Amino acid sequence: MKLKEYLSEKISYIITHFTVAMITGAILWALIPIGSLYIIVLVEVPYIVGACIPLVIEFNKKRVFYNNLIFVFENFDRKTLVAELVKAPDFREGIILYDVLKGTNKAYLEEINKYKNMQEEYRQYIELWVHEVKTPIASTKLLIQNNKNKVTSSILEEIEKIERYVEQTMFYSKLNSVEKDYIIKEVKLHELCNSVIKKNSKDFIQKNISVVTENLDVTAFCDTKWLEYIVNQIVINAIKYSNKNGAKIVFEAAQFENSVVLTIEDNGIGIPESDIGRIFDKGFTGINGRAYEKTSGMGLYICKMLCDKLGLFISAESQKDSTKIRITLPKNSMTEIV
Amino acid sequence: MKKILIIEDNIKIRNELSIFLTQNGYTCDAPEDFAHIIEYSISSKSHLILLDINLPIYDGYYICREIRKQSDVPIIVVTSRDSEIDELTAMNLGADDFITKPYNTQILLARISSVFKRVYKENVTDKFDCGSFTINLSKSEIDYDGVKIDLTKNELKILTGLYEKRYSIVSRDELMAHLWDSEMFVDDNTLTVNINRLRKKLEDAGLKNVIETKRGQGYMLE
Repeated sequence: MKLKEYLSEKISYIITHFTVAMITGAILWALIPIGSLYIIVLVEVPYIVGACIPLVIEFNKKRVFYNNLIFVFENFDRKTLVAELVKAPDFREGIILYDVLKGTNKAYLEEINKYKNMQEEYRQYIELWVHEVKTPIASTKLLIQNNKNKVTSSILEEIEKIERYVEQTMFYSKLNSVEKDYIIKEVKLHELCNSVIKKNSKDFIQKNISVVTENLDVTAFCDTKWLEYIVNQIVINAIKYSNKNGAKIVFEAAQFENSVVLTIEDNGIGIPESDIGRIFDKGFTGINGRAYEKTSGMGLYICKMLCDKLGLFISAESQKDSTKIRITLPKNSMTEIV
Repeated sequence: MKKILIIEDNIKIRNELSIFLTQNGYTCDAPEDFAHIIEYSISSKSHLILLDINLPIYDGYYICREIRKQSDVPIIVVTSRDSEIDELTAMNLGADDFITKPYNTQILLARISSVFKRVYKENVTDKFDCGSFTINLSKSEIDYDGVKIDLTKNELKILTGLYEKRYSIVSRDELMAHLWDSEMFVDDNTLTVNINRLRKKLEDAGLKNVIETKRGQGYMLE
């Protein structure tokens, strides 16, 4: 708050007192003809000083409060908490403003919490649902196992697709609370890749895709479950878009000073240049997604989100008939000492 | 024969799991009364317990803890809860292994047999008698009338894969799946090459027509 602004607000007060001073001066001038100038000065100066003192005191108080308020508002990123951070004023107008501000902030936070709770409840329901639906999937798979024939084998394929979608739902609903459900530990990349390969062995064998693993005897630090999900998603894509005899998926790891890079390369149909920048976007399916099997455009989006949460870097590179997905896992030299 | 106790409240899973495990050479016991499940588990003298977590009356974790107080019987927790915390809880309560639903049945079997091996120090037979010759697993070789034939890892796996299903045709895909389970990710061509090499080795030693080709269907061990 500037002095000029303050004074322009107080213009009526100033004019009133100035006018009163003028009138009293004029009366004195008229009534006491001799030596009136001295008397006028003697009367008017204390009057004007007296009129100014409350202005100065009030300006000071207001300046302290409002400048603090503006400072807090401009400098803190959580604007909803402004009222909590400002010192309570000791003048009426300020108190009113302060109370109203606190009241609205409180109402605002309550509103936010309402939606937070709604979202949390929904997430919990989804998780519950996923757990529930796993039981019938498990029993169906057992039933198929015990009654193997052409029909049930075909049903099994579909059940496994359902299982995949259910898993995706699970991971998606957990995206916003990754921090509540992860344990960073040493991950042996060859174990992780082998587990993913085994998980998809049926597709690999059926589509006659060869697997090559190179330099996977590398360890990194990450959450096993989430990383496995990410790698699995990439492998599923690589299998889905393999299109020829001699299809091949290469798993390769490389160590650098501060990171470990896991590369998964396939020789499938590749990703057109126009699409590659957007494959990690939510719901993006691209030319391949539309031309081949129907896709939801969620898989790589979830991967990207998970990587962001886990502090991993994921990137894609593609030529006409090869796609490379790289996952960069940070490696802290501290961990080596331990 | 090893006896497995299945503690699972879902009737279908319970029944199918019993059938599946019985088919794979175990005897199964699947109680339906969950009110006295702890006493039952201990008195049943099973060799292994498959324990679900979401159960009526008692929580699986509680059952696990109570059993552990009185018995060292191996316990594998089978559940649809899959967070790391659940796994940790199970392990801390003394479970021997943790499998999440819906599980791959082959993985379930592998976990069961590995627990058995570990806990009962099972003397696994590492020699298979195939009539005219024997397969020695630990030495990775074949013994044919005193003649030893060295086998590579892949060849050994192929032969055991065929042996496990002897008297029936094993398709190429099944054989490959068998190899992939042991993390030998061979492709179609490699399998052909490996089988041909194995045949040649056997023939060189005088074992002719051991692996029979069933055109369009697969292979069979004679």
